[in-house]
Amino acid sequence: MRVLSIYNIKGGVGKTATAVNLAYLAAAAGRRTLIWDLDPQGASSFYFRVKPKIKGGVKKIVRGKSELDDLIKGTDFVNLNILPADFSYRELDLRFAKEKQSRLKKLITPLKDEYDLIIFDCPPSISELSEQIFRASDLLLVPLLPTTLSLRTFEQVRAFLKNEKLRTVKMRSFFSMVDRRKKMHREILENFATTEKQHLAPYIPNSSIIEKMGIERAPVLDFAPRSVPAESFRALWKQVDLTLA
Amino acid sequence: MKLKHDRYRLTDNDSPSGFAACLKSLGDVDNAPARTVKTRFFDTFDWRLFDNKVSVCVGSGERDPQVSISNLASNKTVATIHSDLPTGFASDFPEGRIRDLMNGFIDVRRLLPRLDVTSRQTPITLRDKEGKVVLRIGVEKCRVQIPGRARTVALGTYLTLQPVRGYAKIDTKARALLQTGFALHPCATPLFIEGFKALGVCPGDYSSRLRLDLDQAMTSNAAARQVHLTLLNTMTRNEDGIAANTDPEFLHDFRVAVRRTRSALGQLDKGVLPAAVIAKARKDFRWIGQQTNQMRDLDVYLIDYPILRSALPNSYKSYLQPFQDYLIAQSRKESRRLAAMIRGKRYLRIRDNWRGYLTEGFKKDKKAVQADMPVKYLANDRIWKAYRRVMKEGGMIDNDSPAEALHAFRITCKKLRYFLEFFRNLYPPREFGKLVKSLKHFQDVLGEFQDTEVQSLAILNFGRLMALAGVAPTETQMAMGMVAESILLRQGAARSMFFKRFEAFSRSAVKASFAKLFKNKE
Repeated sequence: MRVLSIYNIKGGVGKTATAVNLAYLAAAAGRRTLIWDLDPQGASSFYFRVKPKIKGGVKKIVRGKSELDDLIKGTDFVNLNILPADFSYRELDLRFAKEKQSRLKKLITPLKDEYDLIIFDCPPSISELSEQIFRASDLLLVPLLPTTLSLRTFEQVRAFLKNEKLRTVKMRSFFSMVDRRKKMHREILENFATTEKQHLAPYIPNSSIIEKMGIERAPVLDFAPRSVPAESFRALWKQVDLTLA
Repeated sequence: MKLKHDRYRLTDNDSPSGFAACLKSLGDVDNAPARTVKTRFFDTFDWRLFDNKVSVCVGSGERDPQVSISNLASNKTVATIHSDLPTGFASDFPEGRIRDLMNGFIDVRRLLPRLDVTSRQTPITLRDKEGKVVLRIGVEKCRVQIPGRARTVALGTYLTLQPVRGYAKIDTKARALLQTGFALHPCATPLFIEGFKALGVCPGDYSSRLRLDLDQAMTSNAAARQVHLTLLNTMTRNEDGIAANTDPEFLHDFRVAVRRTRSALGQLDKGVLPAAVIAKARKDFRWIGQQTNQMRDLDVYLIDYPILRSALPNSYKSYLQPFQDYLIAQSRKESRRLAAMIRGKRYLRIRDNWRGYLTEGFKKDKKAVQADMPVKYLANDRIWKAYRRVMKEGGMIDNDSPAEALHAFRITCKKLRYFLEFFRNLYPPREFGKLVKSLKHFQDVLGEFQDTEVQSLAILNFGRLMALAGVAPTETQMAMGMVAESILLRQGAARSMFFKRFEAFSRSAVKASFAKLFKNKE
């Protein structure tokens, strides 16, 4: 079982769209996939039409009193299940702070025979929960906007991993919400990709099709499989899959 | 009683709209228009998936093809992939768990189409307030046929239930409603088993392993004829596959049956069948065996090509490509010749005359003095003699023995192995199994030694032929030389390992077991 986290300190960079579409592609490739919507906003759950509600809330999960297995829901797609969000996830930081640093890793261990891939759709922050996520993950995938500020957040995450000696987790970035009509986007895209070794070349365009996920409540790959964003997600998944192997 | 199964047979009066109406109280019901879905089930020629309680099918409806792997014991889907099976080999499956699983089942064999199911499906989905699918049901009318054949057979109409994980309550409620509203007859048998049954096909009826059921009370003559008939049936079963050349294993099994037949004619039948019959059959089966040699060699090199290539440094790998191209071209040519042979008069005459003799044409022969001997006595006699020969020849092998001596010894061991396989069911399985295992242990090393000898020489010979045909650039010749060298390196290791393994086989405990089981009391 491999664990992939879609993470950024910053919000609104396309984390959930990436998590949902990569989960769809992994499942379509035959991987038994679980997406855990860790964001109390519950956007992944919304896209998969699953109620953002967990029986017993976060308290029982963190203490190990609720079996994760019992909380998992099937999505409308084969091989793809979801552990929905819950509003109580806003307390995840507090709850994990009272536990060991590897608590999240321990929580998902019983699922290792059932799933080939777990994807964490992470909330935007750098906190106790983030540390738990880093310790539980094999790959941290960081969506970046092609802007100076966004690139700075990537450096912040890298510095954090280095300081905390979290060397077991790989980190890769990619550009999201790219508008090639903008000169700055084009320049950053070209410069950053050539200088940054941990960067994946495929990028996700800024597209109204991705925004339509909220209306269709499904991955782009499902309702617009031949669209440009769908092709971009496919190219990204290929790279991510290779990195995870 | 609750509806526990996920598939039920329906009566002609049940309609999809009736089921949709029945579930309306539980949520929004989508009653989609009917669509035709084609599902093709695959298995190897020797039913490896079925024997492992697994089914593999490719479904194609409105969407892209989808491969499903199911466990027949639990009737559950193990994996689903949005893909097709372009070649039928394990490499069609995505790397990782699924490919490992398939490799374990089918090894180098090819998945062949075994059954086509065409169903007219009306999918019904039950959704909750969020629009999420919480239960899928389907009404499907199925017809089955053997791929490539025109005849179709109607299977009937079924109701299928596909619960969604995490929505158990709604599933329970739906089942209760369906049970009250309809007369449903559960179908525990997987659909494709029902399909095979309707078409008169018995899955698992062929195995590469020799399945002989000799009776202790049989005469030697009757047993010998049963051995030969079983082997002849194996040959016949593989003819179509050889002609179509869809999987090299058809030819492999055919050749093993020919070799076993020749071995039986040479050692088993003496004094049991008339000498003239044996002499004629030996000549005929030698000819059949010879006809298949070239094709099998090509098959082996094509199967082993990735391994041979992997022995080369990366910078040399691409130079080997002309070798593979040459093998493929020769294999196509040879396959056409073999298909003509298997459909040709000479082969068919040999096969039919042999079957005629074994079933009806047999006459008692005064000179066949062992014909009426009890089979157990004959089996003991043949196995014991073969064993003593193995021990004698094996003891004479030393570090200086030429490759030919090891080759001859390998054939002697094979003869003993064949006898053990022919008469397996006449002996206590546990003790017998241990002896076979110990023999197999050093046979493997002999096989490795012989294969390395033959392969290295054959690659050099292919190099010569390719040069004559003008299709071997210098780089390719060099790469082939490196491959031949890497094979020869394995030979030295096999030779030294042989002595260790033969020593283990020569232990007094093994000898005592052979004597106990097979030495006739005079």
